[in-house]
Amino acid sequence: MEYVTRCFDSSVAWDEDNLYPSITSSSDVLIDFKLPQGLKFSISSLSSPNFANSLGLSNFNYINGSLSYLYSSIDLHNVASSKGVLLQDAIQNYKFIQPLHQLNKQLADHTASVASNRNPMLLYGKLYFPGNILETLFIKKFSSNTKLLVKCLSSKNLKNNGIMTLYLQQNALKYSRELIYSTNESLIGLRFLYNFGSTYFKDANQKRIQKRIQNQNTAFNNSELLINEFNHLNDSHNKFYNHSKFSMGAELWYGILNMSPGLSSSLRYTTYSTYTGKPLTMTLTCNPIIGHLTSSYTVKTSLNSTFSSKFDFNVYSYESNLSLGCELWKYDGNISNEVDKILLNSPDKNSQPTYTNTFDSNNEYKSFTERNISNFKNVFSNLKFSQLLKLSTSLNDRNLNLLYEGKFKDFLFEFGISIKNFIPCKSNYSNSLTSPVNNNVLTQANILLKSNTSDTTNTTNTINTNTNNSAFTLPEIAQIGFHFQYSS
Amino acid sequence: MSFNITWDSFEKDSLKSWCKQILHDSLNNSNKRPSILASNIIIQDLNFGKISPNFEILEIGDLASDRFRGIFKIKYNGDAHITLFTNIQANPINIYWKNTVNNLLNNNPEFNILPELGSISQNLSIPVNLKLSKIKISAIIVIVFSKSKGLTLVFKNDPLENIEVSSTFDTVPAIRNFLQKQIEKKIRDLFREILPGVLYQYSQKYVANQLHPQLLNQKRQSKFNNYNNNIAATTTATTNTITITNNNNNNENENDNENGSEVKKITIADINPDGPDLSPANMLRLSTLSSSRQTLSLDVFKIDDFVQRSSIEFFNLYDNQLTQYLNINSLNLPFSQDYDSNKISKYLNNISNFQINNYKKSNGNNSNQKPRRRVIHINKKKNKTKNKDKNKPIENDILISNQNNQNNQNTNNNNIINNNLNIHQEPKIQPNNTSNNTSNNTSIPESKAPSPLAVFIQNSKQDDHPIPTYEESTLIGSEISSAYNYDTKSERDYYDEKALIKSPPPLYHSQPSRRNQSPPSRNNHRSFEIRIRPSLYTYSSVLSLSLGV
Repeated sequence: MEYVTRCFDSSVAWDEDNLYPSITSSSDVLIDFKLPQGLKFSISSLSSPNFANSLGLSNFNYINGSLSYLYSSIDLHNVASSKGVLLQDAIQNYKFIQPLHQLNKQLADHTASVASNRNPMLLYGKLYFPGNILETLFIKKFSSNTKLLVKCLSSKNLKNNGIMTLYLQQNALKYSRELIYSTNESLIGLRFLYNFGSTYFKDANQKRIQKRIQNQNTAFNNSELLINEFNHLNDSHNKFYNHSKFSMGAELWYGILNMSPGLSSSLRYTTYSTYTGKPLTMTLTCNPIIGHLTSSYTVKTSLNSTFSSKFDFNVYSYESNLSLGCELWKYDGNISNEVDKILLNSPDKNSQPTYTNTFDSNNEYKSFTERNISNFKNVFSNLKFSQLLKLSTSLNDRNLNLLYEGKFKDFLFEFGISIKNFIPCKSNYSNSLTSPVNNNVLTQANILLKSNTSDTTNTTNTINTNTNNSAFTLPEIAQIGFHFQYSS
Repeated sequence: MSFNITWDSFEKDSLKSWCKQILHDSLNNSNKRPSILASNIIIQDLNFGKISPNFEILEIGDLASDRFRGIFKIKYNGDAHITLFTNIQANPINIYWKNTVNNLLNNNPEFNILPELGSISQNLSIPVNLKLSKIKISAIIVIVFSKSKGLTLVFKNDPLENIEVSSTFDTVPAIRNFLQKQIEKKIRDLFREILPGVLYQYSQKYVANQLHPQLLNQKRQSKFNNYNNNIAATTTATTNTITITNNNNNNENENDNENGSEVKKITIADINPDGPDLSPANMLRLSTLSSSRQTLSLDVFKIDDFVQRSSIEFFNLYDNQLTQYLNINSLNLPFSQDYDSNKISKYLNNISNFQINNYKKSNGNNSNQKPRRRVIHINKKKNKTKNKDKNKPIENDILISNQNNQNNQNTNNNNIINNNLNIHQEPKIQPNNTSNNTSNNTSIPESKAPSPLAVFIQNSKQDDHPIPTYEESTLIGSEISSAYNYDTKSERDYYDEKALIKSPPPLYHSQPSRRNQSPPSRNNHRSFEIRIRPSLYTYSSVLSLSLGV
């Protein structure tokens, strides 16, 4: 269903990635990914282009099921079944953040096709049983860049029998704004995102080339050199914005009933490697209220691997944390053959710029880069990967999260495991007490105290004399889950 | 009486660490840590001090081996102190998020109703030290202890007189006052509610643990004995297909059984004299009872004072006077090889009493109708049939309820017992007047001569009265006896096809041995009997012919 709503977004030309929460998604999908819990089966089908339903059975806490329906006022032609879907579409993974001028181009293509249905709408309802919990989602697009999103959860266990969250989103190319209200503790939020850079880079460039050709056609005159010089400068200036994107955002929250404020601001910079076309993303997030700084660096090192690192630091408590994550794709078969095939069929090949202006080295350079980037992206998004392994670990929590996703026959499966105290650490009881961050103190203390009962003399030494007696924390499985889904 | 408290022993490290552990466990016991705590609570320092409390006995109300009631006075003004350490979550959005996810959404990962708060809900934990010292306590305590109920402790007054709270936030007076007030309140709650509750629960655990295992062990031992005996009995019985049963063996078994069941009985009153609660021991017995029906094992444990469901059809549960004498569970009728006339008469008397009661019940106490009863007198030339008084015991008589359907159409059939009591003996001497009006088969021993009696109880079907199944109560068809008994005098088949009966355990399955045969009858009856007894265990069958002239 999440996938279907994403398809809906893409078919109504709504760029979810342009919203503030996704500013850190490049590292989040690699480090803070969601692990499945328990055993879960789900069967979904798109019975008509407008209608989809899904059945789920899971053993979270107890065996429970869910039944969900989805209706969309526009035809969802881009939804693929679990047999035909590409893994990189079905699973959240590192996203290529597109430069503004490319987005602009895509948007123009889309608006032409979407124009027929001006106000697309999506309705989604999910009933959990037992317990009679109802979850609903309502999306309505008012104009090309305004959207209303309503999420509801109704259950008698909840306060006021339910929670409703409303989002009013405005998503233009250069900026996005969101107003959010949640009935749970009356939480109000505002989010902004602004993209720096020119939206019409390409058009300007084309104009310039045309101008240059005009100049060539006209008789040589003195001004030509000047113009060339000017263009050259212009190009080099534009090159900075060429395939990179710089975004800045902020959010402001306030819970009216519990009087809790929240504030954060983020920066994101994305660029592509010139020769290989591989993307990299850097983010910096700052929460001034609690003095928390987060920086992350994510790079797609090859077609089938992405690495990410995140560093957290709190200026008030001096807590720090280093998290590492990676995703590894597996392709069954010879990948280089497949890559060649995709490159041959790629539409960009036909539109490869011809090097007429051989003297314009700058232009050549640009087209070379552009081709590399688009090729890389094209190859990645068309490869039929069979499996994905995500790994993440955090030094502070000493845990290892592992997510293994893939296709088995026509099924999509997902297996997740989280191991606590993955790195066996040797630490002193007294030290751990004084250290500001002591997630492990509990376990250490437990182990120490457990050994106390069996051997009192030993433990008294440990506790009272604070000698170098230390204990190893043992790895334990914190969470494990397996999901299995089929859709047609 | 005086108490000698060696307070110094509290200073021992082992005790300290044990206390620390207990406190640590109880403070971090709940699965759901409150959202405001970023880490567990750690006991950093625990000191019992040097000054001991004053302890005074005001009154001892009740003192016995299993119960105690007293009022005490405790005064403490010492230097004990405790230091706790924890981390407090200082990010309100983090608390909000955790509250919602953990408490409202039950951690279910599928609900994504909350907006994405990832970048503002980071963890900001502030370490906090909390020291409680200068504790002053003055309390009057009532302690009631009973072996069955455990320990009850009540504070008569507000025990806490003073406590000093110092924390990391001492520099901020508002927080300090707040903490002081809150902790005082909490400690008062602790003394008034939590401590008595915990002590009660703990003592319950102790009492229950102490009492029940020994009961369970006893029971288990006796069951084990029974089981072994039964096994031995079965094997001996089945191997001797021509069951000239050796009396010795059976006697031994009997004795063993008795020995085994001589273990002290447990009643609910022993375990819990006041309450109706079921103790583990009783639960074990009940489970044994129920599991005895789920087994394919052919011997079922005999459980004293219990009537199997199948036997309820015979007997009203509340009339357990009969079940005291007849061990209905295993159809282990008391007619043993040692023929004891007194014993038998006692049994018969009980049976008659029981039947009378049942009759009265079914007809109503006020009914004037006397139960019709056929009485067979043995050792007389002519047998008479007469109605007996209800309660009059008859020696050497067998009373057989003679309640036909016709007589009792308007009565409750559930209370009617119609047993065919067949006592096989060869040659059979049939009394003259017995079987004229009845459909019941009756054959009785003619003489007092001791003989191994194979006793069959057959339940004939009446109306919708369900046939009790034997499968729950005894060996299932270990042997099927098909017998054809022909009496020349009455010219009546004593066994028809319906008389294919399931036999009692092989233990009691015995062909009458030659030496035990009764003397020839004085009547000129001729009877012959053909018995075919295939055994399901050994696939062998016994054909026996007997003639009575």
